[in-house]
Amino acid sequence: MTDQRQDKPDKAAGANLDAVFAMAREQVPQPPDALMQAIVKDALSVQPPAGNVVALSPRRGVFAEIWATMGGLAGAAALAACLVVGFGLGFVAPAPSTDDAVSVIVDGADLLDDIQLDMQLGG
Amino acid sequence: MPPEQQGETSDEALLRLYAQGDGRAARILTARLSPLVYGLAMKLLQDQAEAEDVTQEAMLRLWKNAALWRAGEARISTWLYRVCSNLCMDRLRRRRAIGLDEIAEPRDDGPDAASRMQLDQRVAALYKALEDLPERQRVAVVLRHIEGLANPEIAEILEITVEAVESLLARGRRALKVLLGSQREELGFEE
Repeated sequence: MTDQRQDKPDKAAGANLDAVFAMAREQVPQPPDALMQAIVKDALSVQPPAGNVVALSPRRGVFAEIWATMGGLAGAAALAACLVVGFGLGFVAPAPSTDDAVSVIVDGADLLDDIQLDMQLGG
Repeated sequence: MPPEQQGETSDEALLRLYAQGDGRAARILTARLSPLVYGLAMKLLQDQAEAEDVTQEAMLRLWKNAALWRAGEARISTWLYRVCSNLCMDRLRRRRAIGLDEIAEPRDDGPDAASRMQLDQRVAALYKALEDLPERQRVAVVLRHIEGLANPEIAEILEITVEAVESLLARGRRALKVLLGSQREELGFEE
């Protein structure tokens, strides 16, 4: 009974509120012409040039981003050329062999012995 | 409805055309979408100059994002409502922070509010009462009860759950009933 007495004014308040909302919905503010013109002017001032391809598809993946970052095809070609040259140098360049190193040491020792011998002979 | 607003071309297709350099698409989208944004901004801010600024800013953001727009992610109108709501909430918070006394133009109730939008006295009282609600409650109530949007779309606009929207609306309605109830006689409401 008490709840019913409380419900009645609440329902009336709710109905009043809904009636005002309905009135508010009927009053639609219209933007002034000057604003509409300003918006179109803005649109044209920042518009991409005609024929622009639009990225409406999902964004590029990680590999596509890397590809773009390293300069696309030109960048990839330069990188490949560097790799080929690096490998080439690795294969072609003569590295000193162990035998050569040993002979240098032995030759050096012989030379020292010759010098010592000359000194002993008083030469 | 003006001829340029007619037609079956979707907002998304028009935005794509705009991004490809079609100037006519910009005019059609402006005619179609600006009134939505301006209407919401006016209802939230109750200030024509501010509503115009917000509308122009929201539309500018649309143009700048046109080339990056991802198909099928969100409706353009929903996205614009979100931008507009955020811009309005920023301004409403700033107003609160400044304080009503420091606002250059006094915000009177009754006749002045009504004359700004040529409103019925009861609708003017509604907008005056809306000013007393917290920003998010105000936005939710306006979107639901005046703009007529569904709760899931409001949730998308405010980036909250549908349950949170329902809660905002319930609290907003309760507060409005109290605020308008205190003026029941002057406004000629039924008891």
